[in-house]
Amino acid sequence: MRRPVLLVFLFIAMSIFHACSLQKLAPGIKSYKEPSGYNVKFKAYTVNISNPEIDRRCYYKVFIDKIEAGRTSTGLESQVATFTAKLSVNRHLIKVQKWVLKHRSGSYEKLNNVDQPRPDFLYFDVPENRIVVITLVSDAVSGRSMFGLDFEYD
Amino acid sequence: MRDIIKTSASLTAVLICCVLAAGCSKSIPAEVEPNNTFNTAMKLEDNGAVTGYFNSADDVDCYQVTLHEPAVLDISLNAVRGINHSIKIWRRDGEPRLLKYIDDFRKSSPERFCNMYADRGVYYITVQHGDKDPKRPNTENPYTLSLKARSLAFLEEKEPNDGHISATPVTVGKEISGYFSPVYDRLNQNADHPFREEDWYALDIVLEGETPSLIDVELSGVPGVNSVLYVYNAAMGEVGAYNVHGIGKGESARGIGVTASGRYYIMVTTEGYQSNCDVPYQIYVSQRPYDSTMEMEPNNTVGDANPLQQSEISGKIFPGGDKDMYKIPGPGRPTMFTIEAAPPETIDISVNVYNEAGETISGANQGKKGVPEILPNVYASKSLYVEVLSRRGDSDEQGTYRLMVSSQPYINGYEIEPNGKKASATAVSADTVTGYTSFQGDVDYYFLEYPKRKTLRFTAKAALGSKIKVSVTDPLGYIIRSERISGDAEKSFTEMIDGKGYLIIESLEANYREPYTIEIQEEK
Repeated sequence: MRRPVLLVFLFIAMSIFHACSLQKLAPGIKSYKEPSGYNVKFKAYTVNISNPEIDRRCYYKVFIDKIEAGRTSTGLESQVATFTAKLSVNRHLIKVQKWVLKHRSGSYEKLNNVDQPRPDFLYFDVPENRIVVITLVSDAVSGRSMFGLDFEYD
Repeated sequence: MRDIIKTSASLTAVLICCVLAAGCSKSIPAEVEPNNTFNTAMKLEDNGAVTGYFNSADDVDCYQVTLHEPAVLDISLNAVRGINHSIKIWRRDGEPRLLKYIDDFRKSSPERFCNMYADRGVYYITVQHGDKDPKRPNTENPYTLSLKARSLAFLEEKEPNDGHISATPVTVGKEISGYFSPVYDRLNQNADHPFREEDWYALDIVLEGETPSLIDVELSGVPGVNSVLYVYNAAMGEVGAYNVHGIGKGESARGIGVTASGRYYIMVTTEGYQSNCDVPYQIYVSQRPYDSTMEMEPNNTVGDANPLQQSEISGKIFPGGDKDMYKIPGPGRPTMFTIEAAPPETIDISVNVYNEAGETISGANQGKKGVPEILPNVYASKSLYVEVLSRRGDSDEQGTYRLMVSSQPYINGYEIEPNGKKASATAVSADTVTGYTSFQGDVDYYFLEYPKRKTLRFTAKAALGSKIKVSVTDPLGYIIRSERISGDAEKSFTEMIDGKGYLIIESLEANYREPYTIEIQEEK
């Protein structure tokens, strides 16, 4: 009677150990990064810039739910500019506005509406225990932009 | 009968005229040639005259005057048509010694030297051609050399006093007179002012207890003459040159600092080789005690800067172009100074502040007459030099300016001028930035640095009546956001600093007395 009980216990223990080792070692499986200081990250950059002369210094002003929430870091258009925020678990609207440096005045000025990214907004959901990553990629040749949505991983 | 009487009367009148004419022509003797050397000099009375001719191109006519008493001689030589002539005055000291050489370089023009002082003794006056034109004989038109002697006034210039060695003594509180005569002094070899006639006076100053004092020199005006006044110290260093007023007006040197007993020199001359033998000038020197609230000239350079011993000092911008330098002793610890210069209504004053290395730290110039210049926050721990001047060249002989300096220990967060560029930005390590719109168009840079990106809340408050523009920049100093704040109002805004950034305050409407403040708080 004791032997079958021992065998069952051993089987269960081995199964648990195997499951654990699978989760730790399996290639291609990613874990979501836990939110701490922020749960939304906005990234923006421009591709297909053929000439460094037209690679302007810029930043994006970020509006969340129609309220100015801040701006991205500054950098060249080809570089990734980022902005982070902590939002409630809900559906939200992000809208961005691109500002570029005018060397003559030494200050950043808002791009004309026709030169702003199109589209310049995105509705997105913020779930529990996830960091939402919104990426805006603009194409310097076509003038079009595209939003991407993902989660941040460890 | 009547006809006979008329004829007799006419003849008598003609006879009287002839006698008178003969008598007059007799009173001016003619030269007796040969009189070309001192040994053959013709004697001339000290109140006499003589006529002569330029018999040859190199003719020199020599006259001897013997004075039994000291006298002031008025020597004149009339104009001779077509001739530029000259006079030389010699004294027989063993060999004749040339005292004065008078030549106005003009043809057909008289020469005059109206106040040659001569002790008893033998003198020679020679008449010859001048240097301007080719020398040629003239036996048609005679010259007349006249000599008038008078006694020396109690306080009068003693010519020749053409250099500091032969300077006439002058005394404080006693007026002395002289003449701008002759026109040229051919013996003056001054390279800058060749042949300029100069009158030198020696002023011996005795300081009781070696207490510094100030002297004022007044030179009266003379018609037709643009007079110039110079003051030199014992080492012949120029203390001041004064040529403010024009023709007919006098000049004055005021507030010349004397820190040690000794000899000073006053020199008067004219601009443009003018003379006046009819109206003398007067020089009056006064002395007054110096106290540390009064400027002491000369103080035009850092080396001559007046030490600032009290919080206030007064001075004058005079003559035009005058610069007054003051030294603020080093406080020995970081200190904020407030410097204010209040001018008279007639002066547009400017203030510059230099450090010990001679670098400009700060400056103020609103460009308005009678308006004070204020530098509210000059940071220093070592000595400072404050320069007061008028950029327009204004001057006021009477009106004084007041220079006021106050200080307080440096407080962290206060701006440190000059901070008008990124490179000289004041580093911010406090929660509150305090600064001043020090001058019209003042720009103040502050450098913000944090370990990581931060969202900051800025609360800006402008001084009453002022208007400022507050800008936040990216790490490179390019402006991301600007806000305008007016008057005593307060304005808050949030902006991100990407680790580093600058806060730029631009003065749109200045308030030089009250500061602006920017509170910086981290947004949670």
